Amino acid sequence: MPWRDILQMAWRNIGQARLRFVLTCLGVLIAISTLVALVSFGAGLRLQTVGNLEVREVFTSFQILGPARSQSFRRFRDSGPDSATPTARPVLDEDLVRRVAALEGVVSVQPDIRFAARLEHGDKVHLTRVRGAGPHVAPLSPYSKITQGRFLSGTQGAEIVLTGRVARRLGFEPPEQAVGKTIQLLTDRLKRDVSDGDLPFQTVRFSYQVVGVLPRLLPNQTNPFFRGVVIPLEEARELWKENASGMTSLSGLTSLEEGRGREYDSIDVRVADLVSLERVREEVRSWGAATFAIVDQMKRIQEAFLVLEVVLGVLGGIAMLVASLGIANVLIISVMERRQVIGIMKAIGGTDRDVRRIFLAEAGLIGFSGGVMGLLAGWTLTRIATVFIDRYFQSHDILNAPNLFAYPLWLVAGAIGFAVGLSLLSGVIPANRATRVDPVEALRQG
Amino acid sequence: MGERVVRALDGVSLEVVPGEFLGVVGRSGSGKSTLLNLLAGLDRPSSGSLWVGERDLARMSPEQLALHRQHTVGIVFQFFHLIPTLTALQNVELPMAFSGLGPGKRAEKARSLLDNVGLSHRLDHIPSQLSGGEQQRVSIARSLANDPQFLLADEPTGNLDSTTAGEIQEIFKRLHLEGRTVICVTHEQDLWKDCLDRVIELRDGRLFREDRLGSSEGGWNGIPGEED
Repeated sequence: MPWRDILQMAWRNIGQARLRFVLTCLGVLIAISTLVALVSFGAGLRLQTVGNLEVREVFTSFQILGPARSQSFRRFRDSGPDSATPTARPVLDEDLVRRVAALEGVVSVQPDIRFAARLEHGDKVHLTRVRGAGPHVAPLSPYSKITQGRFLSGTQGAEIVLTGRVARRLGFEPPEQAVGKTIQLLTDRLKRDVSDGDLPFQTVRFSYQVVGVLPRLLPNQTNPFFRGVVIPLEEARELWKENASGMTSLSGLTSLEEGRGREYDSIDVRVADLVSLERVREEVRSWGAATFAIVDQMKRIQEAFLVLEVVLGVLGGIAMLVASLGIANVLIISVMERRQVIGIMKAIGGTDRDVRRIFLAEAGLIGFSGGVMGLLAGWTLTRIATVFIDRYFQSHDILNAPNLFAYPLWLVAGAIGFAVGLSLLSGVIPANRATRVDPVEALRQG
Repeated sequence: MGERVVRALDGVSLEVVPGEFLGVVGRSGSGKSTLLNLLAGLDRPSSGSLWVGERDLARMSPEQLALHRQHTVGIVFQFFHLIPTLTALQNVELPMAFSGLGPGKRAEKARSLLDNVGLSHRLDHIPSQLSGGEQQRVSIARSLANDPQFLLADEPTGNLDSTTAGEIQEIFKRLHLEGRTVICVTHEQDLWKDCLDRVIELRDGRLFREDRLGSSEGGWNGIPGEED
């Protein structure tokens, strides 16, 4: 019997017991909607994390780590030399920047320049860390998301971009009021003429005009390497090179005193693609430098999310297992009720295979209908949840609330496939029972 | 404790020639229906053989027996045994669907078969909307769906009033005249006497009596065994 006829017959049989069909489908619907909601949550979280990393170009960037950073990244970085053998590694200075920039496939090389500073506006004071940023940061989040004002116009000039939080601390409410205002930046500089009893530092003060305020974003929506308050790169370099904040050893101070300049904590390298990333990193490592790239962590991150998705999937799967027992139960009852019809079908030429397929098709149709409806129900549920989540984040001034639920194609196809597959499996025993119906007995009882 | 072995048919040797109209009579439990079930391939003999043409039904697989029921024999039951959820047309189409005929062709053929048994006006009615006689006509049309060589009828008029029974008997007579081999189990002696070529009587699972009749020999003169 062709499949088209089998499906038609199965559909007709299902239609004969609508209420039973609807209730059985409801079981599948609940199971699949639970499964879909849970797995889409897992997938959503993964996309939020991994997807954002991809968007933020961190897969095509890596850092060359200085001794201090190398220590703090020792769990994550590659097996480059550590601070115990400083002579074996290159110094992170402009020479190294130029050497790296000359490598093929390198798009930009920028030292990570940051220092502690005190910002003042009127009587408001706020301590923060200020970074230097070049033009390559402009298209990256969070700076690409500036809604009030603009990003820095170049690598020089007395311009500053604040975060919303810092602007509030400086008395700007709402924070966007800060745009166009002038604030004071105070930081420490090494003092060369030190008389006895003095500290070897002096505080210097500069005026900066606020050109932009960053919206409040979730941590995973910002660049892990560049975020927070920024001033033009060269401005920052000038302030930083004789600034002792963040130094972890006296050798740094000594080198400042000797006029050798300050070694960068790290250097950010951007390359054209993943292939270049490996090649350039390999080259830099061969010079003895320690490097760190998010790519190295991707496997661990992916594994963690895989475990999360499997756990959530198993929870949903248990619900589906219960539903499939319901399907098996309904079909077994159906076989008992339809013994005579099965007997008739066999008597007029239906083979065991035809009978088996009809019952399997019924199971499959229940699974398919429940699966599709469950998918829609799950999607609706997560949409409703998203509305509430958005409202919650908006009430906390967070723009671009994360979409915590994702529906990749594999989830849509997988959910329906899982529902149909498990339903078919639960139909095997009833279908085999149907084939064992003795037509002579069945017709006699009828 | 062993179970008592019941021999529904024992030592029955019978040959049916193509185009013959054979009547099978006997009391309840004599083995008539068992004989029919064996010929239909619904049952298997525990020993012996059962040849249809060149093939021994006793040695066939369940799949082969199903194909035998699909193509070689058509069965008409006393209680019609139509599928209650299908219309008359769909019931007649079903054996053709099992044999893989396309929807267009089988609908056309089912209409023609139902027309032949006088039911062209009842195509879309389900069995519960049909009278007993009409249901039996549908059953006959269904048995002819795949052009079987043999028609097996188990008390086809046993559940009908005399007028309707006469109409059904006329249909069988016509089908026989068209060249089909008919084997009919019946209790109704007078109704079938005009059509039977030969009649056998079973008693306690054994062939008790056999009479060759047929119009050429002067027709039916009474069911053997009923004289007892």
